[in-house]
Amino acid sequence: MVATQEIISIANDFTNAPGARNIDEGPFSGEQFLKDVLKPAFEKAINVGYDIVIDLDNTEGYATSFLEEAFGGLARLYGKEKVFEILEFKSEDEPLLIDEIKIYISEAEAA
Amino acid sequence: MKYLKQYRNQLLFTLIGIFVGFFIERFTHIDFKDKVDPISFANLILTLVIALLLALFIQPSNESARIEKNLHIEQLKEIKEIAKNIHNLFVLNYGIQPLNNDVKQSFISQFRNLSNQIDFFFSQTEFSKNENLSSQKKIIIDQLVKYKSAITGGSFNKNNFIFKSLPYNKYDNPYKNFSKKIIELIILGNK
Repeated sequence: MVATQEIISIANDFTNAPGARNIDEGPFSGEQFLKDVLKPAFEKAINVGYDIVIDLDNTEGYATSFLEEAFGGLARLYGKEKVFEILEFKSEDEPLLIDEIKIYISEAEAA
Repeated sequence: MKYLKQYRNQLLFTLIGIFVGFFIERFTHIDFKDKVDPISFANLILTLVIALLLALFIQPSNESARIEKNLHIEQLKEIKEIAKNIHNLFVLNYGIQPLNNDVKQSFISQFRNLSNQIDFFFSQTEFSKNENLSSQKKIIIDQLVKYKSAITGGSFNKNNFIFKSLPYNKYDNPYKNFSKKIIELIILGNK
């Protein structure tokens, strides 16, 4: 049976203390999350044909730079339509984070 | 007993009315005619009906609207206070270099608190009669993202990060714009 959804928990699959924007700025950066976790999972999801749910809960919180680099960065690579088509978000700790990330994705291509 | 408490005032005025009516007839020279004027009688009934409608429907509805407005204004004041606390933290740390991790974490936590208060506020407005408030959600989120980006964007989490590498207004203006929108929302909520 083919999975229709993959769940990526940032706290479990990456870190509970997300860091800065770029790898050279410190550990657990948005760029590192994009490179090591998000991009490989996204490519697999495109090839196999399923959605990805990003679970944003159980971390210490996110700086703008981490979120913009990770999700805005993904939109710069694959286009915002594709990102919106494949990614879904879950956040019970801070529901408006989802709106915030959608703004970064929407504005990424123009950046 | 419960009804007696609830309708205490009505009962009191009824008794006063009977008492006054009884004494007026006996101790004054006012002459009551036996014949009832139908227009005056209709006028009296209409006045009573209007008074009852006012007491039963319009007054409670106005009170409920006032309570709702006050609740919204209180919540918006809290949001404004959290934003002010974040700004105060920024002002205290503008010249500090480099910014330590505890202070950075405090910014992140306070922005999370701010975001959640805004989310809570707009979840309440879904049940509000004032549709103008819920229509402002996108505008407020945009201003919140701009404010948060100004503080925690760029190289905020870099070990040697300092606010002072950029002009004061770069951080101050997004705070002012956010607060201005919250004040506009308070005014809108009071209409």
